[in-house]
Amino acid sequence: MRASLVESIGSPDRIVEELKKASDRVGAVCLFIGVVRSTSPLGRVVRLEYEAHEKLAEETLRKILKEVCEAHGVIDGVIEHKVGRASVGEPVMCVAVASEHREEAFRAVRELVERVKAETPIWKKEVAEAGERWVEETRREPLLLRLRGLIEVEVHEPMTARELVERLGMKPGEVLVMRKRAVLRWDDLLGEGDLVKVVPPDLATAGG
Amino acid sequence: MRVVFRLYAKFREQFGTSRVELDLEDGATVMDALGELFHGDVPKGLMVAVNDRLVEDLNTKLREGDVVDVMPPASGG
Repeated sequence: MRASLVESIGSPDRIVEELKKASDRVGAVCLFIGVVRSTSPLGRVVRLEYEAHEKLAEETLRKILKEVCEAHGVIDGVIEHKVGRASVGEPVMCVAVASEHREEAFRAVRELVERVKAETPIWKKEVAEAGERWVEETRREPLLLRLRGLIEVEVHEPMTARELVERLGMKPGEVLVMRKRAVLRWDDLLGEGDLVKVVPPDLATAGG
Repeated sequence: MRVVFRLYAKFREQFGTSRVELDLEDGATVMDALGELFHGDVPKGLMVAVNDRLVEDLNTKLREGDVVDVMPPASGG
């Protein structure tokens, strides 16, 4: 298990090989790579510049990796995050886990990616043709609760899907709201007597 | 007491320096210190560490010589 800041992201093949060697119980390796895209509100991106509080960032990455691997029962994991300048198309973050089965690998990678972005003291400046800006992510407040399976809800008064989720103590994006097999938009109105499901995003396609 | 602030990313650029030292009253908290640094207009969502340890409770009291890292909300990935 390793998590670190790097000047360039390692080869995916090498990371997969590293994780496969963790145990002969490994039946799935799931890997996410974030790359620099060319589009931004400031026009075409020239580069990103990553800055970190290096000591705290590496401590945070290791803590997140340990917590998520334990929580999801995955066997091993790797996080690499770039610091310094990155051109369009360049990999800037790699999150990978090895597990016995795919479900826990998918969940762990998703949580790792979200937590790395939200909790690690790393910042990126976008340098584009029309100017530059420090990218501001909306800070996630600590979760009141985390939905691990779907819940079925009967609506007793008109409200939007967003209001429903917020009344349940969750936030749009952390869960999805489905009516029959359709995922609702946040402004979609629910009426009295509607039956909907509130679903973690990673379960939304598992049979609706 | 004297406290050292280390400023990161946009805060470093806003202040034009990565390091600021301020004299605070004995017993000042992290929030008091941030109020002095930002002249009362403390940005929301910032991350703070004291002596390389992240601080969640802004009522934590500071001591002479403490190093306070002032960091914008994370935006990596």
